[in-house]
Amino acid sequence: MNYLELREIVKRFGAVLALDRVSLEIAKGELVALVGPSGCGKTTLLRLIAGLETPDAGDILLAGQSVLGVPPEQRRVGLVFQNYALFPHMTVWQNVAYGLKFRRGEGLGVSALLELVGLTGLEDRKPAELSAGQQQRVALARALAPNPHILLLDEPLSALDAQLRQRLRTEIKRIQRTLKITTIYVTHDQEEALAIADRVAVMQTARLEHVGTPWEVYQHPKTEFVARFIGRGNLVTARVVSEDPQRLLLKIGNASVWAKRTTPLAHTTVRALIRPERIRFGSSTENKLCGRIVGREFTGDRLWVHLQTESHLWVVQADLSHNPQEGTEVEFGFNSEDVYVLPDSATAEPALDQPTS
Amino acid sequence: MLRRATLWVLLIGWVLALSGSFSFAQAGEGSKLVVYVYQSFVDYGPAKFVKTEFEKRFSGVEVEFVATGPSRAMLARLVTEFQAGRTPADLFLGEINDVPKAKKFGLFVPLSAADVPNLRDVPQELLFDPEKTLIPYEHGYITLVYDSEKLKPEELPKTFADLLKPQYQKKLIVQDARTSSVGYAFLLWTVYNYGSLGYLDYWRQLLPNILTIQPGWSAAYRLFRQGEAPMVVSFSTDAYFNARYKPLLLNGQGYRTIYGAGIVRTTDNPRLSREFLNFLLSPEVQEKLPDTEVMFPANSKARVPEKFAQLAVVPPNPVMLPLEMVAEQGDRWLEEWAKLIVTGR
Amino acid sequence: MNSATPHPPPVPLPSRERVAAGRGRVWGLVAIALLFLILFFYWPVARLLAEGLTHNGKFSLDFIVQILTDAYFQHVIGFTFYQALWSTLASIALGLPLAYILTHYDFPGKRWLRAFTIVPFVLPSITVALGFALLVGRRGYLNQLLMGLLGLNEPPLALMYSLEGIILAHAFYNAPIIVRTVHAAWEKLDPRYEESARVLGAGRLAVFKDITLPMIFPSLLSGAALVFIFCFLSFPIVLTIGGGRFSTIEVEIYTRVITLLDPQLLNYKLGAALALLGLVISLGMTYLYLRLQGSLTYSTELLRPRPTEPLFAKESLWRPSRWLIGGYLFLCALIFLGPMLAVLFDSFWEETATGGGWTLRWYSYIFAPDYDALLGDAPLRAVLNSLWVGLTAALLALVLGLIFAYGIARARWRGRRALDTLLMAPLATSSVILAFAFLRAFSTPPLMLVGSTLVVVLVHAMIVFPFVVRVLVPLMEGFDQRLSEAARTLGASAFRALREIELPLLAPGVLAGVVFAFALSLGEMSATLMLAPPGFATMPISVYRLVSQQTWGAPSAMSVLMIFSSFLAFWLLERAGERTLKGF
Repeated sequence: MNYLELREIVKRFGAVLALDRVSLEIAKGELVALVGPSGCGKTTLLRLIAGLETPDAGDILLAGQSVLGVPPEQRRVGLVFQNYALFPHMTVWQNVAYGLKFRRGEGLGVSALLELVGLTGLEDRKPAELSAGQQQRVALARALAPNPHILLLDEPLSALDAQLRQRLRTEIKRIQRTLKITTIYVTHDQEEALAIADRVAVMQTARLEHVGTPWEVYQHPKTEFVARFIGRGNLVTARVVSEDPQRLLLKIGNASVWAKRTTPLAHTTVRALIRPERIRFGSSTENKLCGRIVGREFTGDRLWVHLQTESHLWVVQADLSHNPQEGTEVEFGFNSEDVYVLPDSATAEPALDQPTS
Repeated sequence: MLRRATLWVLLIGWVLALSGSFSFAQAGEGSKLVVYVYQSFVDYGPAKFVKTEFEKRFSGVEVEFVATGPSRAMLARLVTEFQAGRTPADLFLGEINDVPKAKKFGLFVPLSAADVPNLRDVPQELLFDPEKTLIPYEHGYITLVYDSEKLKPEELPKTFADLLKPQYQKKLIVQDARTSSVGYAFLLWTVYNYGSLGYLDYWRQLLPNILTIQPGWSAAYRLFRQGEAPMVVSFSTDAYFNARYKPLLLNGQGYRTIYGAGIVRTTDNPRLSREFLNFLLSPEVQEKLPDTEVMFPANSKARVPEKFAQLAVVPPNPVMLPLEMVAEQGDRWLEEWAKLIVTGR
Repeated sequence: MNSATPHPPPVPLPSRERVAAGRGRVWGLVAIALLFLILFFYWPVARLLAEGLTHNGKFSLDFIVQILTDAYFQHVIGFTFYQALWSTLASIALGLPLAYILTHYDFPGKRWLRAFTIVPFVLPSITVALGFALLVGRRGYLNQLLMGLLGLNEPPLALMYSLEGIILAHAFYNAPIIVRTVHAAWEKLDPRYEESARVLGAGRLAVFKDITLPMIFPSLLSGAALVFIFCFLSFPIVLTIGGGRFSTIEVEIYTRVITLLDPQLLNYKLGAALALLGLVISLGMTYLYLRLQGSLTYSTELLRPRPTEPLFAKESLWRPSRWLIGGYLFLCALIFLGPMLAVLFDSFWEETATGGGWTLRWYSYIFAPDYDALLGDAPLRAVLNSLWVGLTAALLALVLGLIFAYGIARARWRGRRALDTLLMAPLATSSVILAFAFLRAFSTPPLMLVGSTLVVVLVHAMIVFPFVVRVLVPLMEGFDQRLSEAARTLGASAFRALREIELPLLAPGVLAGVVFAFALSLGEMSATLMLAPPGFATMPISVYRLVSQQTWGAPSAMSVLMIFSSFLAFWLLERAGERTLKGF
């Protein structure tokens, strides 16, 4: 049974449509990451669930019952704000204990919570005397204190530096697992979303584009937007030339490429996605292309290579043992099962194509 | 914590101030007579003596003088309160030229010798009001007064016309006729001499010689004594107060001024108020007037100090506009005058 | 969250009605506050204006026309403008150089001088009038000094009872406003604009003319507009320093009410018409000021703070310009502090026939519980009255102010602007006109308030509450709403979130608002003078009554008490302000 269910939620602010018929179902104990570019309506969705806003249409159900009209203080939703919104006039202890005033005897108690988030010993500090990471932990502990049914995290790590971000997201995940609390985690960082979530929901301008496991969202994005937004990829326009029972023959520029069989009919134009890590140098693969190396990005753990073919600029995640030099002509390729044709992308017209970043 | 401390200080201050302020209200037990009077009756005049003696005679009675402004300002205040039906005043002391306005509003109760026995000793010539709503208790003459240490006899103006000379630039202090009975009387005096068509022209020329127009006699006289200007509009009797300050009889005249007391129609204490008036007219109080008010007592039986009889000048030519005329045109003269002093035109 | 216990089903449902009820409560409060405002501001003022616009019960412009065509009233209105204009120019002349010096130099006492610019807001104007009279009056300290030095028999400075005196007193009182507004803008002006101009070849003067002046001009204009309004509505200074020969719109209305001047005025028609004209003018000016303040200010992001240099450093000591500036600062200190020092001195001094001597007589007088007929009250009671009326009015204004500020700051609806404008009117209405309106509206049943102390409290509250709103609105707008929302999600009701989170965090500012309101009420004289019931005096009224009788000493002692209270309030204000900034 779905624990939290959003049904066709619509929210307008004046002329601006913030949420357009958004539906989402979340199971108990699940962690769903809500990801999308800024301004797409993620925060609004959280605020609706928390009861800080009222939807113009649609319904929000918790354990099968509508919670519309229930004021925020009665919804039992824990919310961690983007900049934490810690009460500046209260100590760490008072901040965490604040919600317990209204739910006496429930939950873990302040010291257990502080231990859980690793802040024991800082009880008497004021928020201003804490580091950003510590503030984040207090905010989490405060939200968890009154034993909420649902935990909402609004970009909880966006104010922190990269290293701390990685450490804390592991920790949030650990705490979420320990408490088995249903959680919605809003972020604009797709990598963070993939890393932390049981399921990822991708939003674009007021709409939910794709909801699925990190694997599904990454490998089989439903829309071009999702394909672009999640991870790096080579998104190309291709003409379906012919098909056999297992495969499609695509024409990408002048190159012929075999792809795994999907629905599209022959003689249509489709959009295809080939992830950079699927591309290999050499001629060991089913599909072979030739290109010139025009750029390199070395990020420490990875090496990205930009390849120019006659029609496209490709991005390839190279094996670190390789050290291809700029300007050299190389052979590269990928297997047919690594070419993903985006569903519903078939058109009669050829579309403009360009590589994704 | 400063914030909490401030809050407490404010709270305690509020409670203390409130209770302190209201604890004044229940001071008096018995009946109270509230007397509206001009300022000089309190700061120079016999107010203290009258209060003490009267309260001695009528135990349980408290006399409260209110003198927050000059005579005509007090009258205006009384009228406003009276019209709103909530004046605390039982009695009013003021000048003869205010009678028309008081009558217009029916402020005072008509009185007779039956009500105030001492009225019998007041000479007929002082009883300007046939209905006796304000009964006279003192009288005198408005004149200029000069500082004999600042002006030599040959420098003095002899006539109203002399007073316009440039040599007296900023040498004169006058009172505002809107708020002061002395100022009003002086205005009427110029009307007497220059007529209702000429008085404004006279004042226009007089303006450069006026240092300041003060709201009341008290303020004007205080400035005069401090030496701000050598001449002031005051009373012919002033030399008795201090021989240095001598009367200056323009055109040989003095403008007649009579002060009277009346009972406010809305008083709760008519009997006590009549007793107060009778006391005010009694020789005991009347004999105090030369030394305090520096005015002639109204009661003919009151003896005045010999020195007062010598020093208090009675102008050879006392003048006065008939009250009917003041009643009819006074407000208009006043308004024109007020406009003139502000615009200078 | 504990995995062992299954989640209970969410709260008893639904309560759409409850949410509506909660919101309704807030708007209910706003409605009550609005009703209060209508009853004690809009209705009396509208009634007064209607009196000026009707003749025999019918709409008529007769009285307006009568005033506009009458030479006398033309003179009064013209003079009101004239003196306000010159006072504003004088304030700019005095204030602008000081703003420059404060922006460009460091010197000992700079912090104090800067803090001192709050003076016009907290110092009661009657004490300014008194101090000014003591200092430059004909027998004032300055004249005595000059007479002694130059061996003169006549006082050389003839400022009392003159237009120059009024203008100078206004300049003293209001120059700090110019300093305050201009300095604030100048300090925030990014020096790179001027540096760019210099690099492009502009000389110092050209830079000032082409770059600096245009950029600080909006704030100068807005400061000047405020000064103009203050001078336009100035009452105690014109009354006391001008004497009977100067009449502004304010003084005219007051005098007419207080002296029942002409029979026509007894039905108040002309007074009402004059009030209407005065109100229209001051409303227009206030609107202009708020517009200027809101729209013309350049918002430049300051990337580098303006450099300041020490005024007195070893290497620059010999420069004559520094001595000029030093001299000017000394003059400013003299002009700003002089009147207050004069009051302080006079409060401990007694003139006697043989000269004079130190005394505590005046202080024992003002703390005496004995009734004084000249005040119409006991001096001690006047002191206490001022305190409790001030605190009550401040509290009332705070409650009203909080509700309105909440409505303005939180409203998402279009009414917000309307509400803002609605509250602007009391700000622009002079106390004399408001008191006049009260006199006319509340002298008859059913609301026969005139003659009670309540009416004084009410009029004070109405006068100070727009200022409280103006302190509170930016405070509430600047408040991070998410803090309240966090509390809501943690289980606090809207009311508790307001009480436990928002109000404690706004407390320093709220306190500052109360203190500000108290200081304003403490100095309020004009409306009190017109409305005070018999046997009731406050400190400013007592000072005025004593000063108008040309008595000194006692009013000085009372003024010292007022100045002290005002400065105490001002000090608390600064401290509270500091806490707001530094607290967290």
